[in-house]
Amino acid sequence: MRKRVTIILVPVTFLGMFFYFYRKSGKFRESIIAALLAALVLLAGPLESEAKDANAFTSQPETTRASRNRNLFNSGARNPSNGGPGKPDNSGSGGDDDKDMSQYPKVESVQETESRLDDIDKSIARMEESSDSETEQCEATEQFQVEESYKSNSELKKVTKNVHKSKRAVKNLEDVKQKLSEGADPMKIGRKPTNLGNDFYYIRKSDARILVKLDRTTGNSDVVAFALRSNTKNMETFATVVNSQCDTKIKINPKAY
Amino acid sequence: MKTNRVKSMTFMGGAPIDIYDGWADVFVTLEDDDDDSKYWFEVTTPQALASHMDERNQRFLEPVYPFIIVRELTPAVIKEAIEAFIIEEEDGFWFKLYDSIPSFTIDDLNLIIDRRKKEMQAEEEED
Repeated sequence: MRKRVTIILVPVTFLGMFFYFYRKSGKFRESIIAALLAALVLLAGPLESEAKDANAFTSQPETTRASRNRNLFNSGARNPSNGGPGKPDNSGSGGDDDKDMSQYPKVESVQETESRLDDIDKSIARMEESSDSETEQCEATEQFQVEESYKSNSELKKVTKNVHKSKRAVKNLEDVKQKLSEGADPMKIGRKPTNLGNDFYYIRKSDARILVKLDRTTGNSDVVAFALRSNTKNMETFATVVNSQCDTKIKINPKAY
Repeated sequence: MKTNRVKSMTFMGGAPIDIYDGWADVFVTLEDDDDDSKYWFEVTTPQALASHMDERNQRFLEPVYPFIIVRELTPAVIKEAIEAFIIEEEDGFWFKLYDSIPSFTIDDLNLIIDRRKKEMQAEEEED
């Protein structure tokens, strides 16, 4: 738009200035020169501004362009061998134009893109397979041993015999053993277990009371004793055995109030 | 039941560490009990029930046997609560119920349910 105005303005100015100087001085040659100079001055303004615009468009600061290239084409780092998308070619061959063009991504064919995507899918699948097997290994190693030393305790034999008559109590015991083998904190099994000290825990389940000793170094545990909750005699024997045989800091039934 | 007085009380599993947020298993003997029987109760606090559900991210308490709820797990309060369960006029019904329920088997419950059904049938026949 500005160019068109300039094209119209220059001859008009030239003619206007020529007539003005010729009428004033009456000298033909000098009037033409003066009109030509005026037209050139008029032409110089728009040309200068156009040159500025052009400079502003083409010569941006180097850092800005470089950062834009990184942002837009940073995925190119996945395939450095072929220059890849967005990978600037620093070989320096060719002229200035070639050098500039080499900093922009090469056009990739559909086949090339598809094969690259296939490669990515394959490597993701390989990574998933390896992570699954690692998880399985971790799960396998996270199984802790749970011993049942109450079985070899002659004084607890009668108690144990009674407990095994109750299916619910046996299920309670199995539940506790399962959780211990999974590495559960004994203080989070059952209803508000009591830490009796020296790694002994008194666990409250609905039908049974279970005394567990935890080995903190290995994570393994031992079911030291257990008794049927509904059998008072059973519980008394349980308490007597635990108090006499286990090195608990807190005795199970310390005193009567 | 001859008496409503607790003779002695013993904490099984050690005395509660947090009296406001804990559970306690208690053995109780009663005064004037001829055979010196021991009774067993579970006692807890409202806060312990709430924290139990919070820890397990539950909106309700899983099935449990009846327990006595007190404000604080001190011997004095627990004794007072248990004595409130011994109502002489009812022959200590609530005391006996809370003590006995854990020993019920499914056969016992079926027996009670069958008996109740027969009683209702008999009532209908009478009408």
